[in-house]
This record gives sequence, C-alpha cells and structure tokens, in this order.
Amino acid sequence: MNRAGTPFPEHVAEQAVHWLIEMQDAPLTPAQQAAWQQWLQAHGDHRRAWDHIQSVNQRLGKVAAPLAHATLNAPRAPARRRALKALLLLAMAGATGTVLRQQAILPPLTADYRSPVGQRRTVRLGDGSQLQLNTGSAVDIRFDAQQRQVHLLDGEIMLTAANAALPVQVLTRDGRIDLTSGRLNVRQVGNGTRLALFSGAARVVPGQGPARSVQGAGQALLDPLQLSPLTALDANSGAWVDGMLVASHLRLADFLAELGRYRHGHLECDRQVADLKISGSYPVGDTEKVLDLLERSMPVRVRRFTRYWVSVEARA
Amino acid sequence: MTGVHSPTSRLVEGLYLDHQGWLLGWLRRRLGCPHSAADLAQDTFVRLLSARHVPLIDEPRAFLTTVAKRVLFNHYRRQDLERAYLQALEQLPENLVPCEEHRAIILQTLVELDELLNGLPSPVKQAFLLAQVDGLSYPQIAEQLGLSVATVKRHLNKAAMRCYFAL
Repeated sequence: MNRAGTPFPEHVAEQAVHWLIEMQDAPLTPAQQAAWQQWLQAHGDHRRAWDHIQSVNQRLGKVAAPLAHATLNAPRAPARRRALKALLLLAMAGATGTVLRQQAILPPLTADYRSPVGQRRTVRLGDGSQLQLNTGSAVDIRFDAQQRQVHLLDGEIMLTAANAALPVQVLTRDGRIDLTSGRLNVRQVGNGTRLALFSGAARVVPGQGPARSVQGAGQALLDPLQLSPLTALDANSGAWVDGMLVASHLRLADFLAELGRYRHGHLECDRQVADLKISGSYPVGDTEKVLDLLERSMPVRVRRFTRYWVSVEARA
Repeated sequence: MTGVHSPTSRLVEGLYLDHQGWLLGWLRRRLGCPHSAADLAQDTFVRLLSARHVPLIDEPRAFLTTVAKRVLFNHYRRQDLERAYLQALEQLPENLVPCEEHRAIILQTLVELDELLNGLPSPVKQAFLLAQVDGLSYPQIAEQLGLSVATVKRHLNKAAMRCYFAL
C-alpha cells in the first residue's frame, strides 16, 4: 500500500511499525505513551509515516474479514497453465458454476457459523427455526431427524423456534435450554449464561442442578448450579437484533463496555467519567458515530490513538 | 513520485520510444488480445516510472521482458483474485455485501495487499490478516495459528514492513 507514495527511510518505517505493534498488543503505559508522543514529534517523517499507516489501516478496515480471507487465499494459477485451464472451464460450460463454488475457500474458522466483530448474521435452520448471531459470536449446529441442537461457543444469539415435535436445544458452558416454541436470547457472559425469553416456553437444565420450566417473558442468569429467579426483561434485551443498543440510566463505563463489543480493539473509559449516566437508543452499526454523539451530548472527549485504541475521557 | 525530469523518467522515456512496439508484440503473443496487451504494456512502463531504482541497463529488451513478466503475472493473479472475490461475495450474508461502489474499492485494496504480501510465508500473511482485518488480539491469533505470541509479533512486524512500506 505504498505504491506511488514518497518513500520513508527504513529506520523510520521500522520505528513506526514497532509502535503500531506495541499499541495493538496492549494499551501503552504512561511512560510508553510519553515516549511515543516524543517520537511522533521528533521529526516530520515520523508523523508522516504514522499517518501513512493510519490511512492504510483505514482502507483495510473497510474490508469485511470473510471477503479478505476468501479472496487472498485464492489458489494461484501458474501463468503457463492458464490458457489450458481456461479452455477446460469453457468445455465444462454449464458445470463451471458448480465446480467453482465447490472450490470456494472458506475462512479458516472452526465453528459452523461465526459472525465477525461488528456484524450480525442470520441462519435459517432446517425446520423453519431461525438463528441470529450478534457481534463476535460462534455456534455449532446439529440439525437432523433425531436432534435439533445449537451449541453456543461464543457471544450471543437470538433463537426463534418453529413449532415442531422436537424442541431446539441450546447448549452453553453452563447448561442446556430446550426451547419448544417462542423466542429466546442467549448470551455467554463472564459469570454464566444470560437468558431472555420473549415468548413461548423453555426448560432450563443447569449443568449440575435441577431442571426448571419457564414461560412467558422474563430474563435470568444460568450458572452450572442453578437458574436465578426470573425478572422483567430490560430495555436492551434483544435490541441488537434491530441493530440498537438501548440504555436507560446506564453508567457510561457499562455503556462503553457494551458498545465495545461491536468494534475491534480497545475502547477505554476513564475513571473520571465512568459513573456518568446515559440514556437513549444508539445504532451499533456505526460505533464511530455513537462516539461522536457522546462527545456532543456529554462532558467527554474521545481520544483516538489508533483505530484499535480509543479512550473516552473528561472534556478539558 | 519521481519528478518529471529525473534520471529514471528520462531512462524510461528512452525505453518507451525504442521498445514500446516490440513489448506490445511480445505481450500480444502471450495474451492473444490486443487491448489487454496495450494495457499491460502501459502498466509495465508505469511500473518502471514508480520504481525506486532502475538499474543500469545493458540489455533493454531482456530487462523489459523481466518487468513485463511480472506485470503479466499480476494480471493473471488479478483474474484469480477477482474470481475468488466474486464467489466470496455470493456467499456473504446479504447484510454484509458492500454496495457496488465499495466493491471495486475493496477489490483494489485486496489486489494491492495480495501483491505486497506475495512471497511471505502463509502464517505471516494469516497473522497479518487476523490482526488488521479481523482485529483479533495477539493471544487470539497465537491460538488460532498454533504459534507463540512472540512469533506472532515477529510475523506481524515482517508483514507490516511489507504492507505499509513495501520493505
């Protein structure tokens, strides 16, 4: 990505790359940050090299990950075999489409279905049930005559079960949920599995505890031993399906933690502003816009060190 | 960009005037298509103009052939990439498919990236993509590729020098 650009001295390139790799590793310590600022200001070339990296990263950021993997892993056809290959493909005429599709390289990921960070995905299951994956989620699916199983490996899903003879079973780290009918949101969190039932009926089986049946609308936390009592659904439950993050008197730190799920990298909240309260509906599809909105509506400023490292601080 | 009257541009101008017709013929024989041949001949000279160093040339036609082979190779590679790209687009969930205008821009980004990363070992490329396109953390990349975090960082360093600075 440096085709016609002005060349940088090699040592400047090396230093800039060094900083980039450090920053993406972990937030810089205050001492490192000072050193970085110093480096940036020491020479015009430094700043230009840094800006150049940022502009390339901006271009890379516009590429959806599955597209990049599938395209760049395309098999390399040696030039001298090309002519022959083209003829063969022509000869196969109608069959060509099928052949090409079979050769398509899938991204090197192990889960059956995976949604990248910042993206949602809908999967239609064999029996008319529907599965939606929120940002950064992964599931394995087993659907056949004997079983209808969704194994949540990571993240958050919304399951809408078709009324069928067999319930859809959702397996998580903490246990199993059998959904006979209705709509269920399941999210893997640090201390368990968060369930939100919007309609219908489900049977919840903790990994090492007694089963319980739930009905109607409500949410609860499942851990390996038990299901907590059902409480009323909160405003943000399932809002992601419509691409929204709904806050009602939410601490800014919690809000940013939630928003951070929809973007790459580190979104930091300074302690000084962590307890500010925020309310409203925000589109998670454009987190940059949400951050801009915060700057306009709250006494905060957003500092962008790199695309992957953003900090929300008190406005000076 | 090299200035208009730099030694490089004078050199390339000389090559162009003396050998442009010959190069066109050479490419046409390989491609079988006069339009692509003209495009690629143009690409060959543009590539020379933007090169950092053009060596002293004893055998201009041998030299031009070497550069043209590279251009030809890229031309074929681009076709491979385009095909893979179109297939990938087809398989992408609807909400992820970029609009018409962005499609071309993204393809161009990928073509350039492919050319820059060309020749690097596969784990180096993969590490770079996982870091800059998927946005994974270094431990996540290490786990996915079965490498240590230190190796991942070394790979990223190598790929970044190429990708950002063509070094």
